[in-house]
Amino acid sequence: MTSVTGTVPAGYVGAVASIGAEDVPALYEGAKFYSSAVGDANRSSLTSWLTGLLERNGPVPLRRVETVDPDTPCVSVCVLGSGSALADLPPAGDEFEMAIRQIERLQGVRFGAVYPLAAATVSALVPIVAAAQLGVPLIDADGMGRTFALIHHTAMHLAGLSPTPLVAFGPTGESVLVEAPDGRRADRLLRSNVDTLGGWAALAAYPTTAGLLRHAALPGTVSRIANVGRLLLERTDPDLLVSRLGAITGCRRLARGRIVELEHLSRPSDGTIPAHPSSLVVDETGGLERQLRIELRSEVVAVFADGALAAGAPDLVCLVDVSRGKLATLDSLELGDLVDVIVTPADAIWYSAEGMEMVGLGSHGISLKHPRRR
Amino acid sequence: MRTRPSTLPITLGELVRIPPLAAADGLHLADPSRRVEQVVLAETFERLRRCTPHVLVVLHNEAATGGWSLAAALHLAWERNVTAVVVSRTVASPSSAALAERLNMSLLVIDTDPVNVALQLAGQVSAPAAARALRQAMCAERLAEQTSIRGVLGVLNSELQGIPVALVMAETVVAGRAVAVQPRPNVERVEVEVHGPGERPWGRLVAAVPAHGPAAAEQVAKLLRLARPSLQAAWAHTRLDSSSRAEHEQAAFAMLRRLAAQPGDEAGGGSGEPASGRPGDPTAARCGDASGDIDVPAWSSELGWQIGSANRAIWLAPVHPTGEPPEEVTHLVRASWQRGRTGWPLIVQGDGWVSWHSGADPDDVAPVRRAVAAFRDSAAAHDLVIGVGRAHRGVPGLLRSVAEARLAAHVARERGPAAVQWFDQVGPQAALAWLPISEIAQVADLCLSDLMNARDRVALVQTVLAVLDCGGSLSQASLRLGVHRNTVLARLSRARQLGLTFDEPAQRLALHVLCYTLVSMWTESHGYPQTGAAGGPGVAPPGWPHTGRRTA
Amino acid sequence: MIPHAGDIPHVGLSVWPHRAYAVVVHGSAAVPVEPAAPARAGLEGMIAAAVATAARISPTGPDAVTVDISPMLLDAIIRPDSDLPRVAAVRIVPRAATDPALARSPTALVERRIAGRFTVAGGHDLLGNQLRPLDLGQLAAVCAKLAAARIRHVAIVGAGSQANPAHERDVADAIQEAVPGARISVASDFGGQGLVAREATVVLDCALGALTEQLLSRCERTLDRLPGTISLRVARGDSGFSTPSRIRAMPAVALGATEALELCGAAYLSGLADCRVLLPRGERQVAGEVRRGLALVRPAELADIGTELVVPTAVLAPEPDSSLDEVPGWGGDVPVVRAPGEPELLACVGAAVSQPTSWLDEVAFIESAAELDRVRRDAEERATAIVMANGAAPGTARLAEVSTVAVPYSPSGTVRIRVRVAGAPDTALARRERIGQVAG
Repeated sequence: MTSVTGTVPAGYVGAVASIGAEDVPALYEGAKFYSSAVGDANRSSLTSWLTGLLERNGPVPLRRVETVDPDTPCVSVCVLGSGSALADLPPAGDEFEMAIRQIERLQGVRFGAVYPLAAATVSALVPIVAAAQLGVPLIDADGMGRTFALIHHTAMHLAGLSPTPLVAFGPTGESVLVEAPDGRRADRLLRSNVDTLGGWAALAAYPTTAGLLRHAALPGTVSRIANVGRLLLERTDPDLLVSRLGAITGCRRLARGRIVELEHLSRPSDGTIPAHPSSLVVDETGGLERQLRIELRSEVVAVFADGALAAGAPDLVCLVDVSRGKLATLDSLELGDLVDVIVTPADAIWYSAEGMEMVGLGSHGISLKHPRRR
Repeated sequence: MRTRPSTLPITLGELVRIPPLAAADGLHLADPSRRVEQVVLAETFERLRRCTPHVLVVLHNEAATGGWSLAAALHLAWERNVTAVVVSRTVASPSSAALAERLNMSLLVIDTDPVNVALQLAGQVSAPAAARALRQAMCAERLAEQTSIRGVLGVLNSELQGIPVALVMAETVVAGRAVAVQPRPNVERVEVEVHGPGERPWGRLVAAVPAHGPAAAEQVAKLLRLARPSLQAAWAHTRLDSSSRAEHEQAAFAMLRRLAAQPGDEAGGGSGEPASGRPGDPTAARCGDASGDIDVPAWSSELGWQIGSANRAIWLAPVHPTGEPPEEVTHLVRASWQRGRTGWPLIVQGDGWVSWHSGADPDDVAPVRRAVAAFRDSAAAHDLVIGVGRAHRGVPGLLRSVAEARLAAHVARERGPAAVQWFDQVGPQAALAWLPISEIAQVADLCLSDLMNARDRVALVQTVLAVLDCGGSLSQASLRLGVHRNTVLARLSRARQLGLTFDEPAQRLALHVLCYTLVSMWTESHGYPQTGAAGGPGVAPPGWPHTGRRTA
Repeated sequence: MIPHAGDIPHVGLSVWPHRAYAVVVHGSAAVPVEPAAPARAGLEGMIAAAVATAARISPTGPDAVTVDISPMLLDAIIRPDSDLPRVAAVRIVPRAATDPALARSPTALVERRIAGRFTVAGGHDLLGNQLRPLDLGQLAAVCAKLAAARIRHVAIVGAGSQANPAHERDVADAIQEAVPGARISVASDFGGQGLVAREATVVLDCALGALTEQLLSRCERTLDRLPGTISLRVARGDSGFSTPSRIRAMPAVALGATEALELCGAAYLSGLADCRVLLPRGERQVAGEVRRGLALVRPAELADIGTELVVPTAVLAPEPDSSLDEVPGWGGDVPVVRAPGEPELLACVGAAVSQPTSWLDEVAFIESAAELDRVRRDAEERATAIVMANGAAPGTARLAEVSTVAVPYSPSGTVRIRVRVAGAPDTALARRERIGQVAG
């Protein structure tokens, strides 16, 4: 990594003003916190791509949505599909730019800013790539605040914005343009195409203006990721880490225990969300010595303590591997590992009635009342 | 014991004993005594939330999709104070069992369709008395079919799975599973008396009920009482058939002998009771293997024989041995011997009968003493003598005791009918009891015809015997006989003339034996004991009068 | 399990650039081997000394020598002036990369090995469906360029080739025809995930071919001269061993063996089959785990190289300075072993007591949970076949690890299966191999 030159905003207070090459490692770690399902398979390639771009094209300005002219057309980008497919078939480098340009041609506009559809995992990094390639600022706001499975699970959709026209540009150079006013229909039309395109695609969607975005997006989520990432890079002991993270994200540790059972793929899928369910049983060490049962789909969707629901979607649950001091990815878990179960509340809109209906426990086949229900 | 009114709801423990839950696996059984008032087939968590306490929940469909749903269901069930949760086996996992234990919530897994199970259970729960009665009726039917004690206990043990039952008579397990009487933690002993004829205690049925198991002690007691008549009938059945029984017994006893005679073949742990034989008992090597233990055969307990740690045999023999006793006599003897001692066997052996008492304490002679005392009238009536052996352990010990009793009986013969001789008091002189008196007397007739024809032969022989007994001392012999020393001298010279040349060393032993035999024979025919005759001045067994007169 | 085979001494060797180290393990005792003379501490000298030491300890002598060549391999990769051949890297992807960073390997060490990069259009997705037919025109052009440049080392990686190696094979065949003597490594031999990691693995594998051949030949010649039939085994990065012929074909498998062997060696000397081992690294410590006698391994970034590989190597995590005993809930139940003695000797101990292992890491698609069992069994059987080829006695294969995880955000039914199988060494195999080699 390059050495630090110029001023770096000190501490964790306030938003980051721009994103430079030296911020990339922190951004990557922070993005991982908000979706810990995916492994690290592609880390070095992505980070070196982003770093190279930022070094060549200079840092990308990060603007709060209120500071952008309300008439500026904005578009969101994210990675659609699985990180494994992305790792196996890396981008050629121009997919996001091509996707955005296609919408520009269709609508006859020139986008003045880019924002993340979901500021988590690789989808938090690719908007920076797009912004650097197009030479436009990045808006410090996103649609989800974490990852959700379907593209209409966004604040924009809840605010009434349509995701289309959208373009999915695959690594094969093929692209799919979808126009469907209803977000659910758009997702369905898109879903089957992703596999054919190669398992992942660059998505440009929710073209809108900054003015509409003021009320339709979740603010400050990109700088949040940067702050969380810096904390995670420090590698302190797990207790200190959790308390510091709590200050930024509102997370708390639910329990610490050893994994005693891994029921991978033991039950038939429920069809709504694309992945086989599985669960994890953890025996709490110390404290109340409860038996924790962690339900997994593509992410952790619910945590039961002695059978009572202690946390559930849309809460963000991640597991920290205590012995290694870092986030545990779902495929690296072993029987006997000591893990901390960390629960972070999602952004407030997800706990509203429509929010819960879209992304809550019910959507994952668990028909129980959420413990945080307002 | 309280009686249950039939309107009380059925308990979880009772439900688990009858199908369909009898085929279920209990992953955790918290409290089998909890009652079940209702059965609910729950498909959704909403339905679970509406459950009232004391309900048996069967999970189905949505509520039974997988690990988390069972965990959540268990938690809800615990909140609602449900009696138990029943779920299909495919849904449960080891972590579910662990959670059920943590919450102390009963969890049962079934292999059949949950809906069918729920329907059946609902029927049983709504008519608890019927379910209970059904179970008892089924059990009673099976018991009634049994004709042997073993069969009855087999039915009991299979009905009460996991609860061992044994039939105990006087501290020894006669049939069933011996583990029922062993003291173990967390086990409650349920005992039911079984009476013999005349309301006299005959044995006890003992069951060891685990403290937290599905069956309640009362239920078990009820079941044991159900078994009583069958047990008594089986016992009576075997006893009634007297003659075949006698043959059976004889054959069985012969088998016992053969067992003891095979060294090492049936080596085993004996009856597992602590060694209590006489210290310094050197003859263990004679019967069986070096440890002296042979497994008590199972068939012996069927006949009601107990072979325990202290077996004391009693031999009944006629005063004049005449070969195998006729059947009618056996019948009469058995009737009077077993009056009041229905547990004691009586087996025809040789010219007499053998019986024995088996107990735990080798020094406890009271039962045998009582038995012998009660039999004395009959002994006198039938001209029998009684010999009692020492107490020995196990099968070889029993046979040893039998041999001792037989010897004692032979010794007792010399004292006349109704004489009782305890082996403890018999010494080497018992060897003399084996002398074939009539044959030796024939020798006297042939070789000492002059003596045998003499008129005063009795006095002569008695004198010679006394002198020889006293080792040749005339003064002691005269004291013994109660006559003057010169009389002794005179008789001795006369005897010498008639052939009793006892001062020749070569002939001394033979003549000593001859005199002893003749005197015994003449004494017997006179029918009363003579001081200084057989056995010498022996010490009487404790408590018995010296002359063997009848006691009051 | 870890062998405490009484009578036979086991010999483990670790070959470093400056000298070789050796240890003879007999029962629970580990005897470091001293060279006959300070000048004879090289590979040949130490092999001879080790065998002599073993023969002194037990009259039967050793039946095998396990050698860890990874320090030599790593040194060749890291040292800028090493004479490793440069490799032509051929990517089979639907579209060539437009961004220079994406066209390269992110790690300088790997990129240094690459003489030229070529792209042929083609490729499959994760499940093996073809995304773009192989562009034969491009392929011919690439072959011509390779022949002209007289490049003798080619590494080929195709997107999705773990699921469908057809394109890689076609390209490899074409290149072999164009450059008959070329050494070609293909990524589908290694499995694993991630194009960058697979490319790095296959490039290093190709570059290390000659060096590996050299080292192993030297070992074999030395063993030939010694009395008795002593077979040669080569340590793998996952703390197991394989046969020389297989390592010659895929040298990348031997990378990273040293750390894994250190873990196993420390565990063996402490007599524990399950423990956490602390190894010193400069001023700090790193921790690794040993489970059931095998080091915990994953395809991960190899610390010295700085890039992810798809061959499994030991998982080492930096140990924080504060004692973990104060952390509530921290294992009193897992014994902690501090590495006793010199790390080079520990690696030799680990090599001496290693077992043949195999590793399988692939993606499959299942339609139902029942099919999962079938797929898993299938993977286990293949891993068993590989472990037998690596030198395990038939029937001794045991499943050390199996995990099937749903791939997140993929079509329902996509799973990643990882299988690790270990076995007991087959002593008869060694003799057969030797006879084969002697015969020609």
